[in-house]
Amino acid sequence: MKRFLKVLAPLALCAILLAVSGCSSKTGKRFDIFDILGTVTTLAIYADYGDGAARANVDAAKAEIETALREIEHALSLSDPESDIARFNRAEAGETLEISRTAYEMLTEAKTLYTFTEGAYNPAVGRLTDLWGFSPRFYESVFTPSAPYDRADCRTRLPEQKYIDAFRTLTDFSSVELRFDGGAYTVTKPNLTATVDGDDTVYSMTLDLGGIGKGKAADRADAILAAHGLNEAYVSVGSSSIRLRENTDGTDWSVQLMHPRQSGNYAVVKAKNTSASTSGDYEHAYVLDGKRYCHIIDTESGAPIDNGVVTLSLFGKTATEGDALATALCVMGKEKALAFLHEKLPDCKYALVTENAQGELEFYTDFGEDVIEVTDRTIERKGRTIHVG
Amino acid sequence: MSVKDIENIKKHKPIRAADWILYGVLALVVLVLFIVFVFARPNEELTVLCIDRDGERIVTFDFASGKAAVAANAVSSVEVKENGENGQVTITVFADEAHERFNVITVQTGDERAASVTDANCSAHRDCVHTSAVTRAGDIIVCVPHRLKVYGNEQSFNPSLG
Repeated sequence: MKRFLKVLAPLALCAILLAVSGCSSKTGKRFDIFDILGTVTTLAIYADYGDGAARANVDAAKAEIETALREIEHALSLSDPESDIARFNRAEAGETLEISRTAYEMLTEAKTLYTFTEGAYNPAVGRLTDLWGFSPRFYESVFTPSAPYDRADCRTRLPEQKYIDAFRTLTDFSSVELRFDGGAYTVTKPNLTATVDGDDTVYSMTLDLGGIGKGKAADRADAILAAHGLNEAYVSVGSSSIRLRENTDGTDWSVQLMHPRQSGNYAVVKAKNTSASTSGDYEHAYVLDGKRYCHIIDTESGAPIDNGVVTLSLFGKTATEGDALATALCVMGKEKALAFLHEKLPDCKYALVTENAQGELEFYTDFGEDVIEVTDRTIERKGRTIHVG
Repeated sequence: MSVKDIENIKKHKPIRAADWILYGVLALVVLVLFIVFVFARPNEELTVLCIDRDGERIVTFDFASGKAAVAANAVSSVEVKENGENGQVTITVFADEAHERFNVITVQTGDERAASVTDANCSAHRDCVHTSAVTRAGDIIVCVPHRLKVYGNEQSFNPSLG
C-alpha cells in the first residue's frame, strides 16, 4: 500500500500543478499573427495581449507598418496607375518625372544592386516580364489581351522572337538617371526606344521593382517592430522575404524552405535576428511542350531562366538586398552563383536547389548540419559544409 | 467451504483503511485530470482562422476585423460571402478548376466565434462536415480528399520561405 502511495502522490501533485498552470495560461505572453495588405504581409508577434498597454503597443506598431507598406506600394505598384513606377512606365523616352522619396531611395538601391550583380539583378526587365505573361495584369480574374504582342492565352503560345529581340534593347538600367535637386526627387527615363516589324507602337523602357519591393517592406516593418521593442516577432512579405527577430524566450525560429516541386518543405533552417529571401522557378511558371517557363527573366537572353537553378534562399544582408540577390543568383546559374556567393557574399548563408539533366534535384548549402535539417531525403546534398553557422 | 475458511475470510476485511486512502487518491487524480482537460483547458481566444490547402495557406480570416485574406494564387478558387446581420461569413473553397468539388466553411463572428465545414462533396461520408466546429486556437478540421485543413491560430507558428 505504501508503495502505491509513493507512486500516486507525485502523480496527484503533477495533476494539480497542471491544473494550476492551465488556469494561469489565460494571461501572459502569447503568439498572434496579422495579415496586412491582403496576404502580402504576415506579422507574427509574441506579446501579452491581455495587458492593455502591451496590446496598444502592438496595435500602434501594426498601424505604422500598414502606413509604411502602403507608402512602398504607392511608390512601386504596377497595378496602381498613379504609382511612381507606373507613371515612369507610361512616360515617353527621355521624359523627367518627379517621384516620391521612397521611390527615389529604392531606385538608388536598385542601381547599386544592378552594378554589384553585374546586371543579373535588373529592374529594367519590365517589357520582357510583360511579354512572357508575368506582369500583374495576367493575374487578374479576367485577362483581356490589350498589348499588340499579347496572345489570347500566353500559357499556350510563346512570344514572337522579334519582340524578345526588341525588348532586350530596352534593359540598360544604368541609363536611368536619378536626381535630388531643390527638394525634388526626379527620375529621367532613358532615351531608348524600340520598334517591331508589323507593329506601329514605339516601345520604351519599363521597370519592375518587384524584385526588391518585398524585401524593402520587410526591412521597414522590422525597423518599426524594433522601435516598439517587439523583439519576439517576425515579418514575412509574400513568403519570399522575411525579417526574423527572436522566437519566444530568445530561441531560434524554424524557417521552412518550401519544396519547389511538391507540397510541404524540403528543409528547415534554425535562425533568428537575420533576414531571409528566396527566389525560384516555381513561384509563377507555366509548362509548354514539357518545358518550364518561369517569371525570372534573364535580360541577356530575354527569356525565362533555363540554367538548372530551381530555387535559392539567402540568409543575411538586409531583406532588400537579399530579395534582389536571390533573384540575381538564380539568373547567374549554379556555377557562377556559387562562385559569387563565396567571393562576394561570404557573410551570407544559402540553400540552393538545382535540377540536373535527368530531372533530379540537387542541393547545395553552406549551413552547418546543426542549423539545417533536410526533410526531403531524395534531394542529394552536393555542397560541402564551409562554415558551421 | 469449511467453517475455518469462513472465519479466515472474516478476519481479512475486503476493504481496509489504507485501501480507502488509495481509492481516495485515485478519485482525486481522476477529478483533477477531468478539471484540467475539461474546465481548465487553456481557452485561447479564436483570433485567426487559417485554411490551408496542400500545406499552403490560402485563406486567413481575422475575427477582429471580420475580413478574410485570400492568397494571390488562390483567388480563383475561393469565394467569400458576408451573410449580413447574423455575423456569418461563408468561405467556399473549390478543389478543382471546374469548381465542381468544394467545401463550404461557415464562420461565426461576434462573441461566439466559431468555424465549421457546413457543406462539402468530398466523399460519401463527408467527415469534415461532421467534425466539431473550430471554437478556439488549436481546434482543427481536416478534409483529406480535398487536402484541406481548417484550424484556429496556433501557439507556435514558424515562417515559411518560398
